Amino acid sequence: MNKRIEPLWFLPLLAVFAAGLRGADELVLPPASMSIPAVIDQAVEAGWKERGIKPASPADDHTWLRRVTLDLTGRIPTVPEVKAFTEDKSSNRREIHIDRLISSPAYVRHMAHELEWYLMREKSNSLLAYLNRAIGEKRGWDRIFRELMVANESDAATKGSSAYLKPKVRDLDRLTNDVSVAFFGVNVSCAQCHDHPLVQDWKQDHFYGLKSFFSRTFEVGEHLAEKEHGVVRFLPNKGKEKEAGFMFLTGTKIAMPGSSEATKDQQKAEAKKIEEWKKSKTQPPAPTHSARARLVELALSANDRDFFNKAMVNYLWYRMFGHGLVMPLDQMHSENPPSHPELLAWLARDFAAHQYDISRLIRGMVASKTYALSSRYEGGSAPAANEFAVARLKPLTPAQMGTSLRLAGMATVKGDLDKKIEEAERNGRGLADQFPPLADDFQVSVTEALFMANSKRYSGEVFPEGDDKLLTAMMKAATDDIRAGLAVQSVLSRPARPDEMSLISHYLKRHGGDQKEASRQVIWSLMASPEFRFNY
Amino acid sequence: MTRRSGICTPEDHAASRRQFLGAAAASGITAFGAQASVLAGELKKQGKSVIMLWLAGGASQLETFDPKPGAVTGGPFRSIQTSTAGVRISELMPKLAKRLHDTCIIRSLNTKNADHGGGADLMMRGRRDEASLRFPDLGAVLARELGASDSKVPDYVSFYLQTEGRNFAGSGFLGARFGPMQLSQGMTPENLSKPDNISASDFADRMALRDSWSRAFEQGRISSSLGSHQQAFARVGGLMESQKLFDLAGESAKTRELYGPTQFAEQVLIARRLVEAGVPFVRVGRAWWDSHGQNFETHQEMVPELDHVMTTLLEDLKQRGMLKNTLVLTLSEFGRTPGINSSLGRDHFASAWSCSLSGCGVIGGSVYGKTDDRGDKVVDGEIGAARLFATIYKALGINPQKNYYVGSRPVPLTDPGTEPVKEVLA
Repeated sequence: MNKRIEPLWFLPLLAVFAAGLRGADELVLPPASMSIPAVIDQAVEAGWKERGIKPASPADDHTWLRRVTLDLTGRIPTVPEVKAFTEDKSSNRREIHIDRLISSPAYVRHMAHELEWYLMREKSNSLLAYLNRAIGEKRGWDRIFRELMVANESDAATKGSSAYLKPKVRDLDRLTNDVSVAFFGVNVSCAQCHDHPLVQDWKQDHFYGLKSFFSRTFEVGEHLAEKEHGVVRFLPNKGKEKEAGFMFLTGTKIAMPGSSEATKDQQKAEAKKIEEWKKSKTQPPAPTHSARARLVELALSANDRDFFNKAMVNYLWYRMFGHGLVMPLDQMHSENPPSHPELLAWLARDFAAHQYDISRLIRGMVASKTYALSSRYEGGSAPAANEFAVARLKPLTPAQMGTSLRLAGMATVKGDLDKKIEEAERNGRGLADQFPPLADDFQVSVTEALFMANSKRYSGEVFPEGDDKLLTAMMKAATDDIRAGLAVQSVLSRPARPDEMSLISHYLKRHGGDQKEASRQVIWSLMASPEFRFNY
Repeated sequence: MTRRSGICTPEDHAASRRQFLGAAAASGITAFGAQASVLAGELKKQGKSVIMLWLAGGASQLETFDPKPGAVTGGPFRSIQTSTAGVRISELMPKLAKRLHDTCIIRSLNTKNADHGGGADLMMRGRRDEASLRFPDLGAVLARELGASDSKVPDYVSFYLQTEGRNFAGSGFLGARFGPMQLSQGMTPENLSKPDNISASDFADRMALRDSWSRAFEQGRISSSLGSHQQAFARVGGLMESQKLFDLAGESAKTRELYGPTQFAEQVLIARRLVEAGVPFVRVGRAWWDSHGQNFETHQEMVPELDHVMTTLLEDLKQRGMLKNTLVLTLSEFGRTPGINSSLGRDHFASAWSCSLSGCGVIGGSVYGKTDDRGDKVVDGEIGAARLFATIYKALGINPQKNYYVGSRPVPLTDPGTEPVKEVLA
C-alpha cells in the first residue's frame, strides 16, 4: 500500500501522546474513598442534569436478574434462582446476589471465555486453561499482563500463558498492534507507515519502539524463545533507514542491553544455543535481559501506566453497559475524549489502587443504579448511547446462546446448580458454534434464523424431555394457562404477562391435536424472540 | 476537526468524525447503518449481479488466456484466433474464441503473492488484511451494495464442494449478516426446507407467534441489532421459497443439456437461476487447478469444461437479456509459472497472470496488458489486485472510493487513490 495515503482517521490519534498523562492530573476526581457504584451514578447523573436528560425507569427485578446473571456467569438464570431472588425481601438482596454470582465457578469460566475472546479474537480456546486458573485465583490484570508477556511455560502457575504470544509471533507488526489494542487501548498500526504530520511527539519511532520489545522473540519448535541481542531497523517515511529504540507509547525510552550488533562470537554462541533448544524440545531459558519483561515494567510504571489502567476499565465498561466510555475501544486518545473523563480517570485510579482486581471493578459496575436502568425508553427519542441513560441491548455471545438455550429447556434444577450449569455449558457448545461472534454494530444473519427454523440438529437439542425439563412439565400440567406460565418462566426468566398467557393458551388450544408438538412450537417461538437473543 | 494542509489523505476522508457521529446519534441509527441507503438504492433497482467462476488452486494463464506457443515456456498447446482481430487464446478454449465479443481479458496481473492462502485472501478481497482489520470479500461487499434488506433471495451464495482452498472467503468487518450462504456439502443449501415434523400451517403459526413477541419487545426500544433480528426472521419464508432455485428440475431439458452434466456446469446453471431471481453475488468454486505435476493433462481435461460452461453461461445470459447487468468473472488466487518443472508441472506464479471479465460494464473483445514473449513478466499495463477490484466495482456502477465505517474510521472499498482500468470499462 502506498504509504503516503493513509486515511485521515489516524489524525486524532496523537494528541494524546502530546498530552501525555496530563488528563488525569487536571481533572478533579471524587475522593478515593467513595464506592464504585456511587462514583458511577454521581458522574452519569451529573451529565443528565447538565444536558437535561431524563433517564429510563429502573429495570424490574426479573430484568435485572437476567441481565446480571448473563453478564457475570454467561447464561440466563434458572427457574429456582428467579424464585429465590424475587422472594428474598432483604434490602441488600441485589448486592448479595452479585456476590453469590461472582463467587460461583460459572463466573470464572465465563470471564475466562470473555477474556479469551478479547485477547485472541478467534475461536481457538488455547488460552482458556491459563485464564481459568488466573481468574480462579483472582490474579490481578497487571499480573495476567505480565504472565502473558513473559510466557513462562516452566512454571506450573503460568502454564499455557504462551498461547497468547505464540500464534502472533510470526507477524511482529500484528503482534505489536494486538498488544497495544488489548492492553493499552490504542491502535498503533497507523504509525507503521508514516510519522504523524501534526503531532511532533508521534512518529514511526513509536510503533517501531514498541515493536522493539518483541523483536527478539521467536519460535523454537513448540516454544517461544528470546534472544539476548537485537534491535529493530526501519525505513522511515523520509530519510535513511534507522534504528528504533526501545520506547513505550508515552515516549519513555529505556536502554536495553544487547542493543549493539552482536559480535561474531556472540552470534555463534547464540546459534549453538538455539540448536540445543531445538534438540531438547523444552522451553528455552529466559534471556538475562528480557525485552518483553522490560515492556511490562515500563507499561506498569507510575508515570506510564495510564494507558494500561484505562484500557481494561473501558473494555469492562463496554461489556457491562454495552457502550464504552471511549468508543471505539482502540481509539483512546485526546481527540476522542471519554464521555465521562472524571469517571474514567477515577475508575482507572481505583483499579490500579486495588491490585487491578477485575472482579471488584465488575462488581462495582453492576451494583450501580446506572447499570440497573431499563432498556426501554418511553416518551420521546432515547438519549445518545454515551449518556448511559437507558440500558443498551447486548447480543448474547455464542457461548451465552449455547448455554442459555440448554437452560431454557429446563423447568427446574434438581441437585447441584453449578453442575447443571456446567453440563449446560458443555452440551451447549455445539449450538454455540452456530451463532456468530460479537462485532461492532452486530447484525443478526438470516443463516441464524434459518438454523433455528429448520435445522433438525437445533430441534433435536432444545426440546429435551425428562423430569426436570420444560417440555415434560408442560405435558404434565393441568391447564394451558399453567403451560403458558411454565414456558415463559423457563425461557424468558420471568412470569408471563396476562396477554402472553392468553396468546399462548389460545395457541395451545388451537393446535391441541398434538399437545407435545404444540408445546414445542410455543417454546420455539420464545427462544426465537429478540427478548431471548439479547441481554436487555 | 478542520482540514489541515500537508495531510496524506484524499479529500473524501476529510468528513468530520464529530459531525458524522453527531448526525448518526441524532437520527438514531449507527454510523455503519447510516451509510447503507445513500448510494445503494439506485443500484439495487438496476439489478446488477456478479457470477464469479473461482478457479481454486491457480489456473494456468498459458493454457487459457495468454498462450505462448513456440516459446520455451509455451507447452504443447497451440493458440487460436478469436473473434477479436489479433487476439489469440489457447486452443483449449475454442468456444470462447468464437464469442470473445462480450469478454475482456486482462493479461497483466502482478499480485505478488504466490501462496495459496495469502493469494486467495488477496484475490477474494482486493487487498491484504491489516493487523486489526479483516476486510470483507467481494461477495460480502456486493451483498451489502446490491442486496435488498428485505430480499426474498439470498444475497451471497457460494458453491464450494471441493475442499481445496475453501476457507478464504468471508465477510470480515461487515459481519455475519453479509456472509455467504455456503454450499459445501451438496447442491442445496442447509436449513432451507421445512422440517417434516411440522405442517406448513403450524410453521406459519409458530412464526406469527414469534412475531408477536418481537413486536411487543420492540416497543420503546430502538437498535439496529434488534432491527436485524426481526429482519432475519422476516426473510425466512422468502428464502425457503428460493429453494426451488437450487432445483434444476425447474430448467428445461434443453437448457440442462446445453450446460452439460458435470457438477461445475450444474452449479453454474444454478448460479444463473439465482442471479435471474435477484441474487447479487454467486461464486462457483471449481478446484484442483494446482497442477505442480502433469500441468498439461490437467489443463487439457479442465480448460475445455471451463470453456464450455463459461461460453454457455454467457450465451444464456445474453439470450435472456441479462448479460448487460451481470458481470461474469474468472479468477484464481494466482497463475502458474511459465517455467515447466521436472514433473511437467507449472508452479505458483503471481507476477504475470490473467483473468477475465465478461458482460456488465466492460468492453467486450478487449485485451488489457501484455506479458513478454515467454510470459515471465508484465511488459505493459501492469495492475495488482486493488486496481482489478476498482475496475470490478466501477463496472457495476459502484464508486470504488466509497467509504464504509469501522467505528469512526472510514474505510474505502479500495485503497485511496486506486484507479480502475478505464481502458476496459464500457
